[in-house]
Order: sequence, then C-alpha cells, then structure tokens
Amino acid sequence: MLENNHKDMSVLSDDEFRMKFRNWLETTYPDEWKNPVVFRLHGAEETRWLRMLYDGGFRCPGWPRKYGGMGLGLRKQLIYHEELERIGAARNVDTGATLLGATIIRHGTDAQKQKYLPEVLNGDCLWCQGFSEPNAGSDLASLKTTAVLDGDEYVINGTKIWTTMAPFSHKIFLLARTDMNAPRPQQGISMLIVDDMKQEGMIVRSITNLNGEAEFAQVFFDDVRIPATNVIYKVNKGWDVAKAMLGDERIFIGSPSLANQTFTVLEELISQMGKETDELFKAEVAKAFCDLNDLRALFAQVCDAAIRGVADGKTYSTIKVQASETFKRISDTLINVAQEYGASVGHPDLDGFEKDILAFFLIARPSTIYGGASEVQKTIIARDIFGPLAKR
Amino acid sequence: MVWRHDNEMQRMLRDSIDAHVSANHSTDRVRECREMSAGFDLQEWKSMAELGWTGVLLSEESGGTGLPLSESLPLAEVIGRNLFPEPFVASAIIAATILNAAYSKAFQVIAEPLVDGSRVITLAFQERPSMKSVAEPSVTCKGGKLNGTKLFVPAWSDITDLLVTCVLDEKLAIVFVPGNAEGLVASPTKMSDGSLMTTLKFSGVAIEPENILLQGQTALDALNLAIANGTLALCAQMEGLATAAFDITVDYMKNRVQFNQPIADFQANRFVMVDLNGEIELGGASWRQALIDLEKNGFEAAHVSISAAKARCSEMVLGVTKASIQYHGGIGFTEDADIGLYLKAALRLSSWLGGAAYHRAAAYDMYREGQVDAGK
Repeated sequence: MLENNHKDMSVLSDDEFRMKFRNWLETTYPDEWKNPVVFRLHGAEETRWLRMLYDGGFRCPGWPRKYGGMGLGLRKQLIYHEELERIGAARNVDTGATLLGATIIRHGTDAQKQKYLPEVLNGDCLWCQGFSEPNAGSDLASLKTTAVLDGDEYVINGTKIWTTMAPFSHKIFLLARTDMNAPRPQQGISMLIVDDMKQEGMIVRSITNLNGEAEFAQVFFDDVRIPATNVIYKVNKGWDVAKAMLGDERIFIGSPSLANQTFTVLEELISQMGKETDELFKAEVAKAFCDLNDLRALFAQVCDAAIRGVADGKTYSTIKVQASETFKRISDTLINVAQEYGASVGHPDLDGFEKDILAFFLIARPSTIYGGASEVQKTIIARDIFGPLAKR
Repeated sequence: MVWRHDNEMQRMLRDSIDAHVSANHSTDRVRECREMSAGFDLQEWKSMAELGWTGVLLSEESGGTGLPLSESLPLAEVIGRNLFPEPFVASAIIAATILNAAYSKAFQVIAEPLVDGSRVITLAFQERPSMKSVAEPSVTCKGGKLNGTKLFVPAWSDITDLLVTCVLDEKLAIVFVPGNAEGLVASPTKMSDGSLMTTLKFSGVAIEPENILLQGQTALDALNLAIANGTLALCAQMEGLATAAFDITVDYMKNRVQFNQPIADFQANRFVMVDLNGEIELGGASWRQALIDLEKNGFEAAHVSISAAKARCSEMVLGVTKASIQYHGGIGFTEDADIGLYLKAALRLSSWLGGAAYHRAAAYDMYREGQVDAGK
C-alpha cells in the first residue's frame, strides 16, 4: 500500500529524466521561491512544496518505490539536485525524508513504515532531529538525555539543542541514554521517536541565529512519555543507527551549490560596482573562481566514485570539509569586495542589486559546524592518514 | 577516467612502470643524474623507449602506441612520484603532440628516433616569462633562415633535436631544427632539480622546406593542444610527486618521537597534513576533470579548467613539499635527506608552463571572456 503509483522514472534515460523533471519544475515551481534571499522553506511553505513534489511524482528520489519513493540510483538523484539548483529552488531541510525516512526504511518495523512513511511522503508531517545537547556537540556520545522504561512506556528527561526546524516540526527523533551503566559512552544509547512535539512535557524554545532567523531551537523533555515501541532498530543500539543514517546521500552535503550560488552573487556585485577590472580585487575573485572550479571537480569525481561504489569515509569527510570551507571563503570574498557595503543589513544600497550579501556571509558560518564540524571531519581524515594515536 | 581507479590499460601501464622502477630506479640515481651534463640519463631514456614510454602518445604510423592522453597519464604520475629526471612530459607528451599533428615524411624521420629513444625532441616556444602570446613569436623564418631567441627550453642534451615556433610568411609555423644545426647557440641554465633550462639563439639557421612541419591554423592548433596536453601531464606529474612527498613525511612523522610521542600525534601537525591532503585531492580532481573537458570539448573549451588545474597543482605541490621539509625538522634541511629532492623538483615543475598566480588569473580572465562571448 506504500507503493509509488506514478510511472517508474528509474527506467528513463538520464537525459529523459532530466528533461522530464526540468519541464515539470519550469511549469510548476513557484516564482516567489526562486533564487531566494531567504534560503530555506519553513513550516507551511515546506509542506506545500513537499505536497507539490508528491503530487507530481517527484518525492523522495532515493527511497525505494515500494515505500513510495522514486527508486532512483545515485546518478539520477544527482540530476534531480542539479535541476533543482538550475531553477534556483529554495532549499528545504526535509529531515523526514533524508534522515528519518531513510532510517525507518532500513531499520524500522513494518508498523513504523506504515505509520511514518506516508505522512513524510505527502508532506503532512515535518520532522526534526534531536542529537546535539548543550554539553554534547562534536562529542555527541557524551549526551545526557535519558529514557527510562516504565511499564510499556519510556519516560524521557533532558534537553536537545541546535534542533533545526524544531519550531516548525510535528515530530522528533532523538538519541537518549537507555542504559546508564554501559561501559563505553557510545553504548547504551537508543534512537527514539516522540510523535507529538506539543505533547505534555515538551517545550520548544526557539533560538534566534546570527542572521536573525529562528530556525533552530532548544527542546526540553520533562517526563515525556512515549510508547516503548517507538524505538528505531534495537534498544541500546542507537549509536550504530545514527552513524549509518546517511548512506550514499552523505554526498549531498559536499555539493558545491551554496558556494556556486555565492559566487554568482559575487559576480553580480562586482558588475554592479563596476569593479570587473579592478586589480585590487581581481586576484581575490580569481582565487574564488578557481576554488569553486576545483570544488566542482572534486564533487564530480567523488560522485563518480560513489556511483561505482568506491567512495570511502575519508572521501565523504574530505568533500564535506571542502564544500563548507569553500562556501565560507567565497562569502568572505563577497564581503571583502563589497567594501563599505559589506556590513549593510539587508541588500546594499546599490541600484538594482537586491542580494543580501551579509546574509550569505552569516549563513556560511555554521556550514563548518553542522553535520560534523570541520575539526571533527579532519580528525576522521587524520585517523585515516596516520592511523590511531600512539598514546591512549 | 575514474577517481583514483585505473582502467585496464592504465593498470597495465602502471604495473609496467612499477616493475621498471623497483628494478632500476632509486633516489641515488636521481642524485647521479644531477651531476650528468644533461641532468638526466641518456641510457635510461633508451630503456624508457624500449618499454614504449617515449612513444606512448605518438601515432602508430611512427611506431608509437598512439594512446589517448588520459591513458598515458599514469606514466606521468609515476614519473613524478619517483622523481624521474628524464624529460617525459617535454618530449613524449608535448613534442609528440606536435609530431602527431605534423604527419609527413619528415615526421617519420623525426618521430622514429623518439620512439626508439635514440633522440630527444623538445618544443622551443617561449620567448618571455609568461605563457601569454606564445602564438605570436618574434623568431622568424625568412628565406629559409631562422633567426631569433627562445627561452626556457627544457630537455636540452647532446641528443636533443628541436621543434621551433616562428613566423613564416606572416603566419605561425613550427619547424624542425637538428640539435647540431649551424648557427644555433645553446646556453643552458641549471635548475633546482638538476635539469637544464636553455636559452637558444638562432642566427641564420638553415631550414630545409621539408622541415617546415606545420603552418597557419594547423600550427596554432597543434601548439595549443601540445601546451594543453603538456600542462595536464605536468599536473599528473606534480600530483605523483606531492603524493610521494606526503607519504614519506607521514611515515617520518609516525616514527619521529619528541615529548615522548610521535610528532604525528600532535593535532596541530595532523590538521596541517589533512589540509594538504585536501589540496592533493582538489588538485587531482581538478586536472582529471580538465582532462575530461579537453578530450570531450577540445582545448579551446578546456582552457579555463586546465589553467585552474595547473594553478591548483602548482600551489599544492609546493605546499606539500614545503611542509614536508618542516616536519622533517633539521634533517629536512640537509643535502643528504631525500625529501629535499622533492622540494627542488616541485619548484621546477610548479613554475614550468606557468605558475599558480599566472594560471589563476588566466583561468578567470578566460572564463570572463567566455561569458562576454556568450552574451552574458
């Protein structure tokens, strides 16, 4: 009953698929969401967009068809993302599809699949992810939120923070400690589902970020009760599930699209300021251009490797670091070239230029923090290069 | 071409070179070559020819293997990795590309000695320290006489013959000049890696009509393709060199103990090496994509990505080898330590055919010209 009833697009040629999605986007994608200065769709907007994709047969490209997804291979998924970028689509977090859904498909029970997948598909249910805590960021395994079994319910106490889109979400999946006596911090953690963000004991306190948006939040759990069946995979095995959450899709965190978008704005800005040939900035802009070129090359090579199944963990960490650092560097160049305009709130006072360059700069900051901070990724890469530390 | 994965042909080539390297090559040989007059070993050039390397790109009509560039580049990579001083890129890639375009009777006479390793062929095209306007030389060929000066010519030796760019009948031409031609004076400069970079002065050197290999548009196309091929091969060579220096340094860092722990355990050191590893990955990806671009779309379309690749690889190979010296400590600054050989080779390769600053600016300029042409 979960089966996708739309035509199977995985059998199309790559070009046919590209044109099909492109045509659909061109006729369907709302103009007011194109090349947004506001980067992401929230709440009702996101639901509307997911519903449009669902109705059009373009929802959940990576999910198997028997669970209602499009059942596309990685190559077509890449095309899917390229076309979204081409039309200038706003990003949406879609935690329900990329993280929760993919995990339920891999590790969930039949009942969980029946219950959760359809409402993710049609956009009715938006999810957020409760991993980080005030004292467990990069060191996630030191998390302190607990879930204690009481009859056929778990009782959750603790707090999660930096929970992206929590103020707009209906449900949350989280990591909590279910065995307080486990010998290692990574053990004794379970992945749990709270079915209602508004249920008794839940408090969501939104946090305003540096760019003035209230997208993320701190979430408090005060004796929150959930059915004992709301465990994903096995009790005390939450760490293993969390580590394996992103399969092939890890690659998309290395996409050059944000760096690319920022460079496009940089070009517009230079042209608007009449600085195309200004020697003072040319070397910097040329550096940004080459950085972007090489990031795109690396992404293309890594995608190729992933499609052939030969990309390893070090490669994914490398592309994540490079994509986020490059995005940051190009946004730095943008601010630098803008000179006095660089610190303008909203778009600078330049005729016909409507890009909020400060927002680009500010939104670039956390890209090296979320999804595994650069320092964590570099530690992973270093372990691959040097092996484990000799001491310890 | 797959990221870090060879196809069948590439793997065979790599196996052949690996076998040859372990049997015949060492850093001792690199040091010996530095003392030789040409900066490389004419006998080893002959051995490389017997393995088919000097003719790898040359068309089969001349006895070469006629492989496409992408299939040939594992050779450049391994040559870089092992610091081979023999002029593979200058002769077997750059000069060979010109010869492939100049298929003729003379071509047979010139190309066969390259295939069998009895001669080295090199292209003399630069006249100033820039890769700009190389298609507009001031060397002239008038009334069968060649006059003018070329700079930065690689691969000069007792067995080297020349392909020279010049203006003939107001058009670009490429002519063949035997190394022992009358009126040719060579002034070699020793480079950091022991190779020679030579200034060639042509004073009324006689050019027989059959030695005018290419003229006009075909000469221009051949020159552009030769530089494009050579630049990418050089990138592959630099990646090989950087990877070797990186591996040697990682090994050293794991064994060198200070403050009671291997210096590889200090996070500050680890992160620097991780960053450099990222640069190697970017450089490797950049030239591979540029190569795909070149083989698919031709050199005019690929100019931007080739320049970006050369910029990245030039900077990357210097970054890696400089850090390698640093992490070797005092030993790294000694003549005895091999790691210094890598830095000195990196200096030479990174600047040859244009350094990082030049190519970054060139990539961006050409990109912008493309934008203007496309009416954007």
